[in-house]
Amino acid sequence: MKQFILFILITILVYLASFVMPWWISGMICFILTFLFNPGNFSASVISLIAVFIIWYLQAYMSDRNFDIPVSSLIGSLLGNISKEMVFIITGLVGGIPAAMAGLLGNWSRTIFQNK
Amino acid sequence: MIKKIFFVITFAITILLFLFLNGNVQLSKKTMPPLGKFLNPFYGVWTSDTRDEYTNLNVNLNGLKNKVEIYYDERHIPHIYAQNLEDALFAQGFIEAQNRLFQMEFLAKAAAGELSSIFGDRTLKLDLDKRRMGMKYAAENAVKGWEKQSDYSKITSYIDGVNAYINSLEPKHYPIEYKLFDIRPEPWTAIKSALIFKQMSLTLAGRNDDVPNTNLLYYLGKSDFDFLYPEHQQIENPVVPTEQPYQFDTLYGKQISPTAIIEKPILKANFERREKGIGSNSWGLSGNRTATGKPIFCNDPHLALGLPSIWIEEHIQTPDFNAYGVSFPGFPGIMIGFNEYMAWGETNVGQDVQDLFLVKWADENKSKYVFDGQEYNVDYRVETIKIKGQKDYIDTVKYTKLGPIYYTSDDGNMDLAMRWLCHDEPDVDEYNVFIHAMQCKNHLEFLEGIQKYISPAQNFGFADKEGNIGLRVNGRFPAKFDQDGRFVEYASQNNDWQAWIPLDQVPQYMNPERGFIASANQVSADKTYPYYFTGRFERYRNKTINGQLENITNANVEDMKSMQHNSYSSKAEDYIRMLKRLVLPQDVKPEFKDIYVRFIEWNFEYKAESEYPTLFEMFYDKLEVNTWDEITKIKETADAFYPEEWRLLELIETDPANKYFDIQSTSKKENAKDIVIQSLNETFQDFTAQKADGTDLTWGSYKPLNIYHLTRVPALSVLDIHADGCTDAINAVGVSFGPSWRMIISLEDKIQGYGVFPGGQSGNPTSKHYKNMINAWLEGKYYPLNLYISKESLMKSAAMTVKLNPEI
Repeated sequence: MKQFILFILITILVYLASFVMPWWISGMICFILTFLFNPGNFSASVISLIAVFIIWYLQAYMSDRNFDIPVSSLIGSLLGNISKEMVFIITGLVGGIPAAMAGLLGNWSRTIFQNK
Repeated sequence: MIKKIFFVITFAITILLFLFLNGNVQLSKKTMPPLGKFLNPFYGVWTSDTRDEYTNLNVNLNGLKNKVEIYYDERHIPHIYAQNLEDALFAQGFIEAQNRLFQMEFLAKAAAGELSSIFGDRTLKLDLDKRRMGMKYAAENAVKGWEKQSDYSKITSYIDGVNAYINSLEPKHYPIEYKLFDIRPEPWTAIKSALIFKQMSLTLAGRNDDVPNTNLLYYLGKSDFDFLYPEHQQIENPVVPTEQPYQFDTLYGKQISPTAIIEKPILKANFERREKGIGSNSWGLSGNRTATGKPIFCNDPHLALGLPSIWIEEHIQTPDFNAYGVSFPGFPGIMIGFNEYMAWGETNVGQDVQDLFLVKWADENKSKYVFDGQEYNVDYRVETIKIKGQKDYIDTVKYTKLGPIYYTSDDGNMDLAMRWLCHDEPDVDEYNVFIHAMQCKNHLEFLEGIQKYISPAQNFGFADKEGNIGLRVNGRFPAKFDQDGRFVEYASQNNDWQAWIPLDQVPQYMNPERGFIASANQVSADKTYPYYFTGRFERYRNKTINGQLENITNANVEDMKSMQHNSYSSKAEDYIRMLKRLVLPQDVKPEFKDIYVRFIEWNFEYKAESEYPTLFEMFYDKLEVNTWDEITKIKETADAFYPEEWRLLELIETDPANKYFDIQSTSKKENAKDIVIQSLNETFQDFTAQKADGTDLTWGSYKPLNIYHLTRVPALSVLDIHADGCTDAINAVGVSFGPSWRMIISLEDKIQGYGVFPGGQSGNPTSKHYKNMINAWLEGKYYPLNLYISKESLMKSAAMTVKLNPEI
């Protein structure tokens, strides 16, 4: 249950904050929430990864439909002729991996803080 | 303890990961965008301007007098409806920024020598060159002159429009390139508009042959130099034909003092000739040669073909004028276009307005120089070049009375100052020329307006509804002594420019008896013109154009379209006629006899699917190298170039035993025929060998056209286009140059206009209007240019509407 609430909170807060804050706000939110929830290292990183991956993936996918010529194709060419689908996955990972690291760090900080 | 170590490692990796994703990353030679920022779906590339953002933009802006309505049609042409000129210019600035903001900023930075602030130290050499050339100094001088003009507010209206757009732009909507290079738009200024125009001066009037000519004179001697590099052909089609002797003389047409020219070579200083291809065609037919009985005016400027396109098409209407045409993003007015009374256009004048002078120093520190026996202190201009991710680079450029020290030899013993028209402070409102053109009601007003134009000099052609056609070789031209400015000279007043050629003495004509005007960058006037006119002039396109126009009757728009798309080369025809006279099929190696017979029956058309143009170009390259082995040797140690194509052909036909046909490295004494046959055999050998290897040798594949994005990022470019044409044909398509805007205007009661350019209206690579016109351009198709489209019909059909309201 704690993991599920953490997932929902990360998803909502990251989504809302991203409209007004720079891209790294997702990391900050994951760090703070995993610090507060202390769900364990594995859960902290995986939940952060999945939540932010989904937000970045879906938001990129929705935005791509606003362009005359999909911007995903252009990014694919820029990043070395990769497919549109791979561009969405890379976008999700570029958001998700640092969030996972931040989540892991948040949980670990709590553990070390408590041990003191 | 181990846990703590792991924690510290995780902490470090996390921080590094965020820093990595937040900054530009250098991977081998490619710079990657800051991936975190770039791929952020809330602010990054995914939120760049899209088709929906401005569907109905309605903004209140400070600086407007009245409301302006802009309707974009289905081809993304903005139709601007304003109540007065200033508001129209404001709107022009707004829509140019809306469509081409990065292009404008990039061009201004490229001209100023500021690219390193975007691209890092890989563009430092380019930036240094621009600083030493004094590009920003020239732009600052231009604005200094503009500010003294009474109607300077016209240019500020345009600038306010650009800035109004920039200020209305949210960071998340910055164009894609800003996100790719992690930069933000900077305010637009008059200096930036001046830089855009100076960049055009650099392209069209910013090179000289002083150094190669000096080297060739030194190595070949005067007699051979004059023999191989004459400035005029025996038969020429000058821009303005001499119908009667010139009725004036000049004090300056006398021979330069031989002691003025420096008597030493300058070796390798990168002053080689640039690639052929920049130029333009323009012609106008009088009513007695057209089917409608009304004039037709045509223009196609050949410039670097890029994306976003160099031109933007616009229709601007106020209660006082109604004009349509193309503009350079970043500069107000319509450069090539038409209004309800007339059409106008330009081709470049090759007159040399950039000369180099050897500076004599008065002290070892090079802080003082000697000029006409007197010592002068140099002025220092400190150039600070910002380099992305690195500390600034400081360069100090010395300025003399003649201009900046542009070149210093490696041993430090030779410094050349650059005298360039582009540096001069203008004493007239030159920025007004293309604003004024939009408003002209007859050719007299037009001719008066273009008097203010300075540089790059253009052949301004026009035609009007009253039936007039005319042309003026227009700009500011230095009156020089004969041969002055052709070589590097000693810095002195006597060797500098003496005066300006008076306006009534520049070549010009109206309503000629032959019934047409035409210019294609050839010599402006023939040898009888009293002033010394030197520079780089075109030799073949003009012959084709004049030849076709002399025979044309009942011409219509379709004839003009096919003429602009004509890929015939008179250079190829001249050379192949020579081959037919000189070389029999049995003269070439037996195995090449068949290919030779087919080759000389070619129709001289540079078609993308034909192999003959490739064969001819390969042959010409061999012929040039085999003939000019003496000059190739000079080129190994010093900047130099080969004699022109027409001169080589003339020598083959009139002086076949000339010593230059003898290859120095062989014991045999070759003549012109030997060289031609040898070149043919080598060409056929190479050609068949490459074909046997499976190489596609059709012309389109051999010399494909590449339309690069400004940043040369391949994903934003259109590459490997197989196009008809060559630089010697009317359809002057080169590897990266070509007809950048084809326009045909029939001056009937209701003017009919047609145009196309190889790109699109939008600078946004994800827009359907980014490159949508390339195919039509390739196929020789045109779009109608609708000057008379009503606001009411656009209100119903507009694909996009922008309403600019004055702030209350």
